[in-house]
Amino acid sequence: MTVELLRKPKIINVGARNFHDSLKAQGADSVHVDWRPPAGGDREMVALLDKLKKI
Amino acid sequence: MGKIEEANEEAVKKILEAKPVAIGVKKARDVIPGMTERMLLHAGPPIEWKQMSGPTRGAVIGAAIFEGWADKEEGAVKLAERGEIEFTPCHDHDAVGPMAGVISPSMSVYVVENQEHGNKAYCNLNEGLGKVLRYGAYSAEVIDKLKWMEEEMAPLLTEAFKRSGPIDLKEIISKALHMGDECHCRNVATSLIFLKTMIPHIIETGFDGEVISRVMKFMGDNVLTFLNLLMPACKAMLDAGHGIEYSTIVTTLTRNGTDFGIRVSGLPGQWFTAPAPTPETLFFPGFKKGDEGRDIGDSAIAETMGLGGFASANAPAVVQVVGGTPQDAANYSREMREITVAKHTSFTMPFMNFEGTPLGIDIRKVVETGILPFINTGVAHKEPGVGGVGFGLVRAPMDCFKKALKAFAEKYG
Repeated sequence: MTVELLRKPKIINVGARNFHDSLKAQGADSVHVDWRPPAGGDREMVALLDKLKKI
Repeated sequence: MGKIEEANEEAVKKILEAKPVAIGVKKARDVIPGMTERMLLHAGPPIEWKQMSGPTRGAVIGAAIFEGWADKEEGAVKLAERGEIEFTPCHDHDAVGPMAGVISPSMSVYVVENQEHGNKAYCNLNEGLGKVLRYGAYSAEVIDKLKWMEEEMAPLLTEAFKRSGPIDLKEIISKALHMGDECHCRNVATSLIFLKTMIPHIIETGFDGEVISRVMKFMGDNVLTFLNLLMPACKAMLDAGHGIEYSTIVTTLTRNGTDFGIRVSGLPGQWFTAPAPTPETLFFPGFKKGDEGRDIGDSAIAETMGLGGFASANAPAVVQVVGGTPQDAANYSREMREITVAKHTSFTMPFMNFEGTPLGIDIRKVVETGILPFINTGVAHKEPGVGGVGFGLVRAPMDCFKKALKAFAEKYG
């Protein structure tokens, strides 16, 4: 199984899409997950969202 | 279940229960709450003359000439500069207006009633495409058409509505969604169903045959005839869910060509604004990139209701205007699921296995995911006096939602 995986890697790319695009361009089997940090990483907004989760 | 979830469930329940029907055509001054004689309603959040976009200024000039407050452009501009015209958002008067959305006291408006909750909504009559007031044009031909609409079209519709009784707008929208309309930029099916419904009553009025012929040709040629009924229908439904304590549901998305504004159910009486973005545009022949104004109009009430860009899967032809594919159209609808709390029970998408359109934009989800509401829209020339330049696609700006979230946390947190 390990050998098979190394022979033909299956890739899940999380976040920056350009890694996925580069892999696809080279014929790799990649799946892209469009993940972004909550509130784009805006700490003030993350704190407000956490506060509202308690209501 | 937390208080916010309970409140959002109640807001969505009321929006879904709402039953908007068209009950007539009346003069704005006679029916719009708070309308006074030197007042002009406009699209979007509040704005004063100095900050107004080109198309809104153009529509103000045209409306002042139409009302007889000024003979020509210079006089109208002076009135506006001297503060002799009161400007106020349509939304603050239970009304909506496409593009510049300028409604003056003598204009006729559709009256829509939500039979379930009793609230009403109003919208002017659609003038067609191109050189028209709502896109900021105000030449003699624009004013002449507005006068003709008041002299022939509005009286005929007024009499026809007396005979038709209430026209069920929700039913028309539901049917049209299965006929290729997304009900914002594409209102072909809605307009045809509405005209088909009204024609017997129009004939029953006994008006002169030539008048009926002119009005029917005008309304039949105009693929956006129903837009000005769809918008107050959406307004009437969404207002039913407005003003619910603890609700984070967006009840208005709108623009005035300068600012984009939103209203939130649990924060009544407040606008949250950010600079209006510029739509990605497919231009009409004769126009080019750089001609377009910034995003404008109350018509994003369609997206607020889960139609338009949110129902993109139903109308790939609209996405095609900027080179998109049917798959892109479906993806826009899928994406909007991420920022909404429910699916509509009457408005469905055949190409998504009859799934309900995404309904109930939650400010928390928009801020958390970074996914912005997707809007199909008409695009006006950036200068006053020109008119429409094309159709486009645009996203609401994030800052509106961040400001609303802050205000919400201050009030309820």
